[in-house]
Amino acid sequence: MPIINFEFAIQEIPAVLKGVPITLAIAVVAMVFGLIFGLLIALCRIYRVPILNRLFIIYISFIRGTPLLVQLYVFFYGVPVLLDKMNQSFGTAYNADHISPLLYAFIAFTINVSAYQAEIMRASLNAVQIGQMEAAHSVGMTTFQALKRIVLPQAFLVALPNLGNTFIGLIKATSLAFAVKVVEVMALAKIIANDGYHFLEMYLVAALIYWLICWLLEVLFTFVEEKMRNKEIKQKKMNTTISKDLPLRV
Amino acid sequence: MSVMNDWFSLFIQVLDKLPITLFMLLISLVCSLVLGVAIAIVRIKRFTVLYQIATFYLSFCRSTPLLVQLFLVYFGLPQLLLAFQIDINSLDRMIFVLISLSLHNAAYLSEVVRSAYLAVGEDQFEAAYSVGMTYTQALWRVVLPQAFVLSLPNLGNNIIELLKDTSLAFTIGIIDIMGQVRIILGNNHGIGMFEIYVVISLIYWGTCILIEMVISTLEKVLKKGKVSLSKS
Amino acid sequence: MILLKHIHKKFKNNHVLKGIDLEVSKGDVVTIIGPSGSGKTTLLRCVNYLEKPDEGIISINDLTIQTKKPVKKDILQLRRRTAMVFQHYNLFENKTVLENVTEGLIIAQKKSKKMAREIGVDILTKVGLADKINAYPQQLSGGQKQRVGIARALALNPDVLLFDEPTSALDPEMVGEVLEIIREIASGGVTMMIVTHEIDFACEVSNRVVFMDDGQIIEQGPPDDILIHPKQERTRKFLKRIMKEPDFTI
Repeated sequence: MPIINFEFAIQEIPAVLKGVPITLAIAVVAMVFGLIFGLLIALCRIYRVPILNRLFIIYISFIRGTPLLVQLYVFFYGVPVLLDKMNQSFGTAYNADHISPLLYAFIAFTINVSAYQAEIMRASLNAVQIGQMEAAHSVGMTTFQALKRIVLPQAFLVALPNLGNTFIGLIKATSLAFAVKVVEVMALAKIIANDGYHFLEMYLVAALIYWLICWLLEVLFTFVEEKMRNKEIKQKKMNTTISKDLPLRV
Repeated sequence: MSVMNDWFSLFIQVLDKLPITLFMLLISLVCSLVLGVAIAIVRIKRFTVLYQIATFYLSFCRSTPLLVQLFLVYFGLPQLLLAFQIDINSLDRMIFVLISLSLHNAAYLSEVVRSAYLAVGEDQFEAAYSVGMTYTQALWRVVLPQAFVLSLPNLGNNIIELLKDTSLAFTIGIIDIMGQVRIILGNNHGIGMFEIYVVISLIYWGTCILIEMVISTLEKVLKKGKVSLSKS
Repeated sequence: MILLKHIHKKFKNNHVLKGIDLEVSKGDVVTIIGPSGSGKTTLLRCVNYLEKPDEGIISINDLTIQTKKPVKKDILQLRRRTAMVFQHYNLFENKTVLENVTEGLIIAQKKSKKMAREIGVDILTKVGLADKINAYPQQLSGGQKQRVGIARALALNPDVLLFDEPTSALDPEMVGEVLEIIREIASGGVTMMIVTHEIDFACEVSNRVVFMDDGQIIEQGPPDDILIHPKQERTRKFLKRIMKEPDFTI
């Protein structure tokens, strides 16, 4: 008996690959919306919007202090309960069974990412020197204009490496979606593996697929980072005096 | 007040299995620390062959989901070892979980250790040498104590991630706080999955907050009297 | 006409401004001198509301701000009538030199891009940076950066130009070129308020010198009066420390 049935593994690769689009879909949706919400939350935190500031501190602590799997389950089981209560109170007739599991995954992953992104964006925004905002104010811009034109673009440059890491982490995290019945890479690998006890083969296939995707993404992000850094290096060729633009108080 | 009683008894039932979760956390933390330090040393000193193996191992652990690694160890390892006539099917499930968690976490811990070591800097070694210490003395008395304090925030994050990683153990049958969902469902009338997972999430959250408090207290105690980079 | 009345400012327990009254008429060039911690920069930053006074009134011509009940629109108006040159330049890092100058014109003053560009190029030529209009701040020397900062402020044609220690961050060899430009602006009749350590320069360009110490104005008057015949003991002590010892030649 051969240790690993390579033939079988290779033969089943296409079947497992069918889950890749779903994996990517979850990651992309969560990344995009998580980034938007994360940015809004970060701004609320930085400008200490009353009530919302405290709320978001608790929100971020909760999301980061509980496992993603648990969050997935909370949504998966919580939404039908919520809908039932809504049906009772408002006489609506929403049926939780009609909701695709994918939607639960989208929501739960987005909420999860937004908490982490909020912290990343908060750090990036703080890293942009306060002098930039002051200069923008002093030429008469409103805070909104200053953020949009001067501060946010610089904050994104600072945040870029972290964004890459977050996305790669997301790809791996999508493997948990099978617990709420989403048919992505992990789910497919499991189904095929259980069918004939080909565990080693199928999970190796799954591992290789994830490894390949993450490797490609890392190459992509490093390439983008290098391009940005080269642009910066060219601009910094004649940099002389002080690099920190902190206003001194007298 | 029967609603309060329900929730209270739910908490008690979930907390009953918290020791199992903490057991997984502690054991895999210790094992991954040992392994992580070893890998960090290999990476710092760049012992050729081992360095290649370490890089390969790190890439694998960080580019594949923990779930896949867990399944590979639990389902795949016995299959692999069977070919060498080693039958590990009778081993307690917990061992597989601990192996998988330790291997996975060691990859991340090695980076925590390595960056803390590098952050202390060559200057400290040079100063130690100049008063006559050997490498080992310098390491133990000057560098490692500083590296440990520097690593605390990252170490704290690592421990918290490890705690959350343990939530996957139930998929291979471990009865920790996640694993006993079926049991609780059977015992409680009218309590649904949603309530159970709310309680579970609160317990994870509480434990994480406790860990954070311990780490920050440790940081404060160890940093007493030392100048830090930020203004207080 | 700029009027500051009963200005108080506290930073936590530190009472930095202890009831300042100051009047600046059109065309005045007022230099504020004093030891570190006297509050001179804080006072200057109150004029364009980068620091929010705890008490007092700030008014520029017909615009008045009650600091106990500041109106947001008024603060914006205030900032659109003033312009500041910062100690650490605070140029917009993600914009070119020309864009730095035109940002305020286009966004805050709502000028057309074409007109803003014309004004920008004109002023940048006047400060000697015509060949650098498409460069980024990171490519410039300290003196060049500060000249851009001055151009940016000048282009806005403000009621008053505020200079916060404009040469303190510069290497000695670049101080001269920046002072030269400030000198030219002063001779052109623009209302200016300058905080500086360059006492000789202050003497040259200003028609009034204000000496501050420990949050209060100790005395003010024409440069010759203050610097050669100071009335107050504190003023004398400060000047003794700052001024060079006279050369005794035999």
